[in-house]
This record gives sequence, C-alpha cells and structure tokens, in this order.
Amino acid sequence: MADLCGRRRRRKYRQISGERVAYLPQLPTEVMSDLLSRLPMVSILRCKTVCKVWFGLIRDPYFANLQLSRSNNQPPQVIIDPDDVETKQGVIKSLYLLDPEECKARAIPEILLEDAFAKRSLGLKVMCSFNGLLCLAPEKDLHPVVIYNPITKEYRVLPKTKATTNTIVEFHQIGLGFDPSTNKYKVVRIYNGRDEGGCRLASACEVITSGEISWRKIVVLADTDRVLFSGSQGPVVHNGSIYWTIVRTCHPFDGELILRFDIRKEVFQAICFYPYIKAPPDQCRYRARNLQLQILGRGLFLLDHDGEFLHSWSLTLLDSVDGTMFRYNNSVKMKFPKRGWHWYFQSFVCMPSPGKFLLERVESEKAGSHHQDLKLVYYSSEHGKFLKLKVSGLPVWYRSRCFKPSLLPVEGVFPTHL
Amino acid sequence: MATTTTETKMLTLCTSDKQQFQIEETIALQAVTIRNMVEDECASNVIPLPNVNSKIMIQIIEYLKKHVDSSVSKEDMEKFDSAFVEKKLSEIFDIILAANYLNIKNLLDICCQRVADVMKNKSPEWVRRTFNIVNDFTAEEEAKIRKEHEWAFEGVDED
Repeated sequence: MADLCGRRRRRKYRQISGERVAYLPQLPTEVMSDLLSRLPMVSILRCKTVCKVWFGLIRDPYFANLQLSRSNNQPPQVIIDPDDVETKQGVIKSLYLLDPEECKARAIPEILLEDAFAKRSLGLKVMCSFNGLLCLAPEKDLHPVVIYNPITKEYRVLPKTKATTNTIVEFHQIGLGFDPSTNKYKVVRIYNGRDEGGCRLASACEVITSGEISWRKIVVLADTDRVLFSGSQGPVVHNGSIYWTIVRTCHPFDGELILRFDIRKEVFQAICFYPYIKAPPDQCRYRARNLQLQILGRGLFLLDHDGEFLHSWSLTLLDSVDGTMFRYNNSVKMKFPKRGWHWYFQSFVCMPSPGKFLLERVESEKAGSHHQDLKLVYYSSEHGKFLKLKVSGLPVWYRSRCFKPSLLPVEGVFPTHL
Repeated sequence: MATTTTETKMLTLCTSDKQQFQIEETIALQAVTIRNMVEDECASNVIPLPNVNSKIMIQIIEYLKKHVDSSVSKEDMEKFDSAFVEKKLSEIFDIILAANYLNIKNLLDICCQRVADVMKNKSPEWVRRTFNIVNDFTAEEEAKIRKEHEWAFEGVDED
C-alpha cells in the first residue's frame, strides 16, 4: 500500500521536477560521513540503499565510531525486551526498538540462536546495554552470555564459566563496559546462589575482557557477604565505571547503596546512600524506596519516588588524593498525582531531556483488578503532567531499557579466535 | 604592544570571483585555513580563496563576525545559529563546502546538523532526488540491502 502510494507521488513529482530540482554539489566523503552520522539509526540504515558510495561509507568502521561518538546528542531510544517465544526451530529472541519521540516501536527481526544454545537460551534477558551492544543472559543460569548488536544482527556467545557447576544460581546481574586505557571491552557479572544442600553462598563475581578465553574471579566487596540488587533495570555505565543500586546484607551498615565497578582497575566500591544524600526540605531523614540510576546528557543521576514525589540527585565524581568521592546534589522534586489512580509506578526508563522522564507504569481497569497492562508514560516536570505514549504493536508484557543504537561490530569487540 | 591606540589589523580576502573583502584579522583567524596561511606567512596582504565565491563569503563573514563577539550569550548564539541555517539546502551545501575548505568547525557542524534534520525520516528516493544522486544499485542489489533492514523502512515520511 505504502509503496503504491509512494510511486504515485513520485510520478506527480517528476512532472514538476524540472523547476524543483536544485543542483547540489557533491560533498567530500568525510563531510558526507559527518552528515550521515548525525541521523537517527533507522535513517542511516535506509541511506545504505541510496547508492554504492553511501553504502560503503556507512559500512566503514570509521563511520561506526563517528556515529557512536555522536549518539549522546541523539534523543534516547528504548529497547523493548518481551518474553521469548519457543518455536520448533528453536528459541526466538525478538526485540523492539522504540523511538519515544516518534511514538513508534519497530520489531527487530528475531535472532535464532545456534541449536546448541537453543534449549538453554530459553529465558535470555537483556541484562544491560552499552554503546549499542546488548548483553543477553538467563537470569538463573551462568551460560550462555551473549553479546548482541540488534542493528547489525551480529552476536557472539562468551566462553563458559569455570565456576563450580553445582551452584544453583538464584540471581544473575551483568554489566558491559569499555576501558579506554586498553581500548577493550569488559563484561562483569555478579551472581548469588545456593549450593546443592540449599545453603546460601556469598555473592560471586567474574570478569572477562575482550580477547580473553576465560572468566576471571574477583572479589565483590571484601566486607560484604551478599549483595542484593534492587530493581530490575540493570546497571548504568558512566565514565569508565558500571553502577548498580544494591542492598547489602550481613554488614553493620545494611541498606541501600550504590555499587560502583571501576572498569580499568577492576575493583568495586560501595557508596553509601546515607548520609551523603540530602533529604528533601520537609523530611529529616530520607527513606529510599526505589532507587534507580539514570544518565542524562553526560551526567549521572539517582532517582527515587515515594508515591507522591519524584526525587532526583545528580552524582558527581570527584578526584581526590585518597581516591574517589561522590557529591550528591539535591535537585528536582516533582509531584505525582494523589492515590486512587488505578496504576502504580514500575520504573524509570530514560530521561530524554532535563525534567522529562519516560517511565513504565502498570495499569488496571479498576483498582485491584487482575488484568494489568504495562504502559510507557512521559512525565514532564515543567507541566506536572503525565502523557501516555500511544505505541502500536508492543507486546503485552516487557522490560524496557534505554539504548543507543550503533553499528559497532561485535566481532571487533569480542573476536572469535577462541 | 607598546602602542596605546589599538590598531586593528586588517586582512584582505579574495574570493573566486575576484571580489575583495577587508575584514579584521581576529575575525578571519577563526577559519583555521586562514590562520595557518597567516602563521606560515605564505600569504601576503591579500589571501586568495579560490574555492569560495563572494555570495557565500558574505554569509560566512556574517557568521564569523557574530562568533568573534564574546559578549554574546550562549542562548543568543544558539538563536543566531539556528536562524543562520534557515536557508535553502543548496545554499547550505555551498556553505558546507566553504566551511570545510576554510576549516571552520562550528559552522560545518551546524550546517551538517541542519541537513541531517531535513533528511531525518525521509525515503531513499527523496534523498537521491534532493542530493542529486544516481542510484547505481541494480534492483536486486537494492532489494537485498533493503531486506537486511526491512524494519527500518517502516514509517518513512511521505514525500
């Protein structure tokens, strides 16, 4: 239909094209690359079909890096991760790319993981997203861990762990980041499990660098037995570190923390929520409920909501003599509508601009109804209003995550000489 | 240095159509190509710019004059920039070529961004027509590349 329509229009255009076509000079290729790198990813993919020169430009690794370096200036995109579908051919992992500005979700054709992994890959979830690469892994198993670029459709399965196989994994968190000092990517994972007897084991951590053939064990927090992750959003990567919000147990200072992993040094640091965060003016001690980390522009933010207000703090990393310190600035305070609404807050997805939040919320027709829907909603602090995103073609239940589409080759990041 | 009356040093730029433009050196030196020429002392009083015509030069000087003024606030500068690029694409292309030759990074940036904003969400046919590009793919080749990313062609703007 759309094609027919397009053809008709084209014909009409040709009739008048005599006056309309202005001569445009040929631009040098480096300028053309620069220009194309500023387009949204869907436009870049379309431009591949324009001509052979453009096709070549876009396929060039130089272009992939240029596009990546500009992706901070692009409005955030969201990757939608629905539950997997099992077919006769194997397990299908399908994802959707959502452009919140355009209110459009595009289904990215599924990847069919190789047969050997098909059975085990059931329940692969997007664990984190970095530089357009997704890390897919099961929540309750250590294998397979898949690095996947949904734009280029390339993927790579990371080596198996050497950890004792009789651990029953209860929870698995993965972070993917980049170490500019060595120009290498690293994957770090933390998992909690039980032994065969059902005894809880301390949190374990492993790390693998691009090019390495096996995972290396490292210590999470020396003074902490177990870390529990709060929220399902996974980590945030910012300025050479990977951050999670966690709760730690078996420690004199239990409670909400930020866990920071220094990608270069491969060390963890726990950053206490109290007392560094300044409580809102009307509260003497702030009780964190649903802490979440988000990136806006080049800044790292900590968000929380208490049902009525949305609080946000900007986190600043200060370089001091004795290492690193964080400064918390109390910043925005936003009003949520009063109770009685038939929905509850699920999580923050991204911050497209200052004071604008994209969030997931769960709705039901009536309060207490069993039928529930997941909706994506904008909240603008300027207008104090919620705006529902009317996106067609979304699955019923999913997890959404901020995503920067890139053309980064997975092969270049995690080569297969294994 | 010792003189109290600050004498503004002037440069003469000569465009491809042999027009001469007298501008203050500080304004002209924002263009890296001109700065290199002046620093290397390979230029006499008159700097020849064979790749830029006078029509484009006038616009570039307008841009440079605004950007040399440090009293202009960031917001006003952004306003100026967004008004500056409100031109026909053919003109923007000429400015891009000149900015690329003269090496004026900011100007190149805003112009490229302007073209990208126009191109966003347009069909490949629109792009070819606008950029005067001949499709050198065979129908099969084009269909094959298109099929690789069929999903990206959903929701293209009507021309």
